[in-house]
Amino acid sequence: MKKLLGVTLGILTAIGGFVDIGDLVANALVGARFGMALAWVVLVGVIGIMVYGEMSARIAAVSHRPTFDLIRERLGPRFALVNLLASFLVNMLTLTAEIGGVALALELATSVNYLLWVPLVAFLVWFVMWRVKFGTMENIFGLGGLTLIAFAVALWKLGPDWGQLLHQVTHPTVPQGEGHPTYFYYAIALFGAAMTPYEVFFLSSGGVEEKWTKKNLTLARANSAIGFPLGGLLSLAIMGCAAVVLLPAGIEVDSLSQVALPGVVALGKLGLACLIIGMFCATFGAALETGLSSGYTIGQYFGWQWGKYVKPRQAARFHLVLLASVLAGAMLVLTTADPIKVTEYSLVFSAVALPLTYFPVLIIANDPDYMGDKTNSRFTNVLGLVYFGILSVVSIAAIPLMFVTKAGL
Amino acid sequence: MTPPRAALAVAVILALTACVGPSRTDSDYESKASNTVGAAISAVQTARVAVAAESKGNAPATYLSVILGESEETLSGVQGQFDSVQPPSAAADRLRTKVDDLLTQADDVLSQLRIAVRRGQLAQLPKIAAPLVKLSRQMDQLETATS
Repeated sequence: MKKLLGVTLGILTAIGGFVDIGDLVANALVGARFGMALAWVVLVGVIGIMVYGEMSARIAAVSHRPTFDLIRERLGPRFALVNLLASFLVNMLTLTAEIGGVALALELATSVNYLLWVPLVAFLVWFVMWRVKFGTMENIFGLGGLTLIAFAVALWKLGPDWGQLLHQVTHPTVPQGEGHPTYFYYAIALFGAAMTPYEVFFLSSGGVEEKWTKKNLTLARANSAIGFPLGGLLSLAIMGCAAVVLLPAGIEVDSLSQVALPGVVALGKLGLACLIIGMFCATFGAALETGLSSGYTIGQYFGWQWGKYVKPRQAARFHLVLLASVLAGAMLVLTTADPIKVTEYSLVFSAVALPLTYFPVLIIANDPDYMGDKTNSRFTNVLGLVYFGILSVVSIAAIPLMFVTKAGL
Repeated sequence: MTPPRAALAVAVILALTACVGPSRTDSDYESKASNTVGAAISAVQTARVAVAAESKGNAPATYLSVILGESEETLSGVQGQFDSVQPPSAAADRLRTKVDDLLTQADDVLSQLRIAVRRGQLAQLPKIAAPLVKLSRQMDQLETATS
């Protein structure tokens, strides 16, 4: 019974934790412009994160060492440094977007300008990372993020033409007035949202923090195999709501208040309350994950003592990086850079850095020196290689498409 | 690429993709006008949907204050950006006036909506928002004509 509860809790946390500011913005934006014509990207992204998420969790459970620690040892300090720089910059951009997202969620609840919330949000993010236990942190914000299920309820309550929505999913076409470059630019952003690099760092480092062993592999696989697809359904519900309410009205999403608008139309004040709680928890949880990932990547590359499982005094440099990252992220938001635009750019730059993040995972998951008899199966390798091909194409195409479409105009 | 160069490259990309470029031809100016009107329609429609939700008792004042304030900000922003583009000909001057007139009227209505919400005069919102129906239709026509 206790084991079943553990599995259920893990899955629920994975669902709630799947969605962050990138998913909220990208899915609503895409739904409002393309209907469900890009839903297939969510499916492709979810399978990708399942494949690589499982590999990362397995690496942590078998080797008891996180991915970044192994990258330097296995592929050398130069490659690992390139990887570190790319990952850290993208992670910082994502952290900035998440801090902005938390502040925007608080603005929706209070109508107090989001910039005034930023210092408090930054303090809370740092404080929770410093003081709150890893498991508690993950469960509270993962479960809180589950209230975003209100998007699925709203979609059902809106009573859309399900046949038409399904037709858009199964017969994707570029809508009239939109060009193919713009369509693929947003496909890349959506893919970047589903396969954000920090998820891998967090998953593998988190596994080490929680002292996973081979016995935890079943739980980790259940979380990936059930939690991520259900999280993907939540993303599709956000897209569906935007396709039903915002697209026909000609509304283009450029704020978090517009993301919540279909929920307000369908479910009223109670629905809005659920969505605001969900947005707050999803973005706050992701701010913690990206903040910790900054410390993980740098601490693991330089071989410092890292992690929440040791006292802050014993991992002072790790905690200093966390503090500096949160401060830098908050200061970037305080420059009045639009958090939604920062989110859009963070997704595209994430897409550029994807191969650098996922290639080492594929290499290490195949190395018997680290994995013993738990190396990738042939099936996992085929999927891993196919996805590495997709990641490479996406990475090469992202920046040219950004220029050609003037960042999705 | 060294870290400072990478940071510079990111900054240049962000700047290049975010700026409004000059218009050298009428068709380019029309395209900019079309994009501007499209963004303005989005702001106006956001306000209309939000006010409609409020009239059914679905939207709290705090949320309305945020969404209407943002709509007004978006509209003022795109109008400012469009106005900063140099019109290349007399025909472009006429188009500029047409776009500006419509956007100014819409901006006035959005301002009134924002003021009413922040004064707690929620019952007056549908009446204040009424002109947006016609303005939205006119903007649609202008967007079609310029695209």
